[in-house]
Formats: sequence, structure tokens, C-alpha cells
Amino acid sequence: MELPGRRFAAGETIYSDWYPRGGDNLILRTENIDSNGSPTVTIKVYTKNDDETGDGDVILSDPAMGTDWSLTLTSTDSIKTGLLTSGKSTTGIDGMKQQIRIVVEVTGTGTDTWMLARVFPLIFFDASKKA
Amino acid sequence: MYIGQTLLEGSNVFSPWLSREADNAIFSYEIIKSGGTPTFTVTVWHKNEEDTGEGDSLTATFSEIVSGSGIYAATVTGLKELVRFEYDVTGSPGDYILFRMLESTAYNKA
Repeated sequence: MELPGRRFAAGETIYSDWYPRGGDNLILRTENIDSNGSPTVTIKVYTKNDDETGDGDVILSDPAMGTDWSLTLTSTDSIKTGLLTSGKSTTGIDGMKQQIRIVVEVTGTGTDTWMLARVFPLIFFDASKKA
Repeated sequence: MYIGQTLLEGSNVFSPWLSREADNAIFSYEIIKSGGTPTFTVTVWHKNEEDTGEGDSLTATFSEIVSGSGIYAATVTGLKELVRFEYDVTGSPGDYILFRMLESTAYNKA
């Protein structure tokens, strides 16, 4: 899945469709193409199993602390890369279930604060060895 | 069958030529395991389909995307029609690298 370039206005929260997990781990890349003001775009990943309904759960970077995994893009960034690992990860990231979707949250002040951004096709892969 | 390929110290090999998917790309590889203290260098080469020979090397600086992940990535712009990688392992006898290439992010300028 990917999100083609579109303008995200401050205050918006955009949900992608649900997509099947293509592997236990994920490389997520996004690009700030243009912006106005000083927006901050935060991308989070939600997950649920096929037999579940509803919004799913946000993936955590630190399950013990309840911190959401996220990739943050500001007006000074160009391309940013995030790594989301699952399973017996040393980083403690809670893993992806069978379906995932990304949620884009945009913050900033002012009435004309926006970012033209895109999310590149997600790269899934499985672990190559025991954690 | 297993994930990854092992290259011993002294290896200097090319991948096959692959078609460019877009003008620019971010290439990634993972160091799964290494033995000794090898130096692993990945160089990106490109050429047009009408060209014969090895083509031209590109400047690609691979850096670890997240500290400790073992996954390295480099952005390369202005690709010609065909792309391939050169893998070079230097070090002491017995040193080795077990690695794999990950899917790349191909993109055109927005």
C-alpha cells in the first residue's frame, strides 16, 4: 500500500484502508514534498486480526510504557524512514497482526498550515534469524 | 533454502542487471551475521540498455536506518535504465558477511 502525494492540513487525521500484513517487519518511508507554516505529520500504524471488527489497536514502540510507534515528518525533513519490527524484538516493539493501516495525524498552528506529503509503498520482510 | 547470502573475505561480485523502476531509489540491505571484522561495501552501477560493459558507478552512501537494526539504506538519484550492485568484502582470511538485499523504494520526483 501507499498514499500518493496529497495535501494534509493541520488538524486533519487521515486513515488508510486496511491492508494485509506482508511480513512481520515493516520499513515505512514518507516524503515531505512541500509545506506551508510549520506542520508536523505523525504517522502511526494500527493493526487487527482478520476475525476482528473495529478500529484495531495502535502499534506500540514500547509496550511496557504504552508509547505509540510513530514516524514524524516536519517541514524541514525530506524523506524519512521508519523501521517497525515484530516478535522477539530487542526494541520491544509490539507486532503487527494480520491487517494493518496507517494513520496520518497533522498538527500545527495557523489557518493555512499544511504539508504535501506521500507515503511510499510499504516494505514488508520477515526476520532472517532468531532474535 | 535460507534467507541471505554469504560472501567470504576477498569476494568481489556483481548482481544481475535489473530494470530501473523509477528515476530515483532507496536501496536497502541487511547484515544478518558476520564473522571476524570484515568491511562490506555495496556499490550501485547503472547503464542504459543500449550500452555494453560494466556501466558507471554511482555515489551511494549506505547508513544504518535505525541504530542496531543491521539494516542499511542509501538514496541514489538519476538512475539509467539498468541497475546492478557490486558487493565487496575485505578483511582477514575467514572473515565473512551473511546479508540480504531488501525491497527498494523506487520513486520519481514529486
